[in-house]
Amino acid sequence: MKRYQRIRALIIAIFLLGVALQGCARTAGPQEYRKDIFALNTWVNIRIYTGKEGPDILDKAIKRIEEIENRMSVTIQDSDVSRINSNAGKQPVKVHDDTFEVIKKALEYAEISNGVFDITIYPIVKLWGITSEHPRVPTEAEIQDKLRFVDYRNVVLNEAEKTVYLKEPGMGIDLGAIAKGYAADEVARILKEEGVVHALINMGGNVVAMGGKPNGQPWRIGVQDPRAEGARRHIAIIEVMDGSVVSSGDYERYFEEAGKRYHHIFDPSTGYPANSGLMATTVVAPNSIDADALSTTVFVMGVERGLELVDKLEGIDALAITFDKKIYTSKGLKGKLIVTDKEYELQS
Amino acid sequence: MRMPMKVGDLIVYIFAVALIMVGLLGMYAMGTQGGDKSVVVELDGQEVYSCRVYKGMAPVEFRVDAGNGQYNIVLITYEEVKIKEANCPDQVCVKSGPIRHAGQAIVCLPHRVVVKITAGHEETPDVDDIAS
Repeated sequence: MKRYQRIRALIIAIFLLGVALQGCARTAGPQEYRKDIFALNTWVNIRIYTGKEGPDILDKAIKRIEEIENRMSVTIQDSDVSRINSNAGKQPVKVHDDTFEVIKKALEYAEISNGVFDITIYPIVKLWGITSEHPRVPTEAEIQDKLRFVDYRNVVLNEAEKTVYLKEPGMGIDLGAIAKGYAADEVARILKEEGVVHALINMGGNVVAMGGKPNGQPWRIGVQDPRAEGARRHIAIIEVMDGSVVSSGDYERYFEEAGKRYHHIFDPSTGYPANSGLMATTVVAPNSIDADALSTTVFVMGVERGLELVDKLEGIDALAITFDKKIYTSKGLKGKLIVTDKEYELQS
Repeated sequence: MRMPMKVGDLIVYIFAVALIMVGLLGMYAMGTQGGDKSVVVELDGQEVYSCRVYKGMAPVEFRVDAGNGQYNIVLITYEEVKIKEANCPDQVCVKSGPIRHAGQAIVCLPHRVVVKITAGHEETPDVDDIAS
């Protein structure tokens, strides 16, 4: 009898311990699944909150990113873009629907920006070798020679045939300023189709926030420190429930010669890296493809023209950071930006 | 009928209470430790190293072997994390300087190495992601 009681006491003790431990255990429900890969020449992270089907959903998203890369990369030989470029001045090239859609969108932004955003900049990008191992400052004559080929109006789209034609031999397109945004939107579309509500996608700095955090709070998206080189380090925070945040700047890919910085965002009117007084821009938009294209556009345009353009566009906001570390924002962002680095000064 | 409590039973009950206290204390300690940050090092998307960062810790150096003689040396202290040295062609990761807050990361694209700070258990990160 005594022994029985002791055993009972022990059982109660273990039970109580179990209850105590239970109180600290994480609540059940959707779990976080994440995937980090290197694709589209950059670091890609996807974070979703869902049931145990999480890994399968992530695989689906990654497959789509790879598909986009294989079609739109300028460095992959048999991509749609490479085929368009090698047939410049020769013949129209039939492309996949998605490539066609992205080029069409790019031409829309070329129109909106009066050619400030121009995917036919590729001959200039190649001349500077900015993404190659040995970038260099070309001569003025070389630049003028290549600048002849930069004109988005010489890209001919055939909607019915889904073909793209570059009119002049020597022309070339590069979708680097828009393809990542498209890929991020595509991942978001796939996640939604799979029933994912809360997610965070980062396609080499192109962030798409979905559904806010699982606890109902908005996602806190950092604005990149333009002098952080390869670090993802922020100077300010924007809160987003649903939408995309994309930054562009002179820090992403650049080289230095004779103490001067030459970065990868070219001004199609000069053939030189854009020199509008900005270190960086960040654009907030419902879709990442728009945020991506506009962050480049605002960067080339500078504070005044850039923010004026953004203020005219419905549902889109932007900020621009000048060399003297001042942050200018579009009207819709006023009072919403949280500056966390006191070296940077928010202009009202 | 109920038996009166015996000395042996009392010992078992005291033991049980002590066990619960130790358990709770342990959970509490883990909880506060969890409030600190962790550093995770990844190579090509796979975690190769992780450690918890806490006050009073000794600095940690971790060498990432990225294959073909490629390496990055990560220096982890309580205050900050940085890549001290690497033999990548662009040296971008070294020039990056330190990161300090959960949600931040250093990326070495040529070596496919990522060093990130993650928030501890139940702690909110400073940022959820960074648009770079």
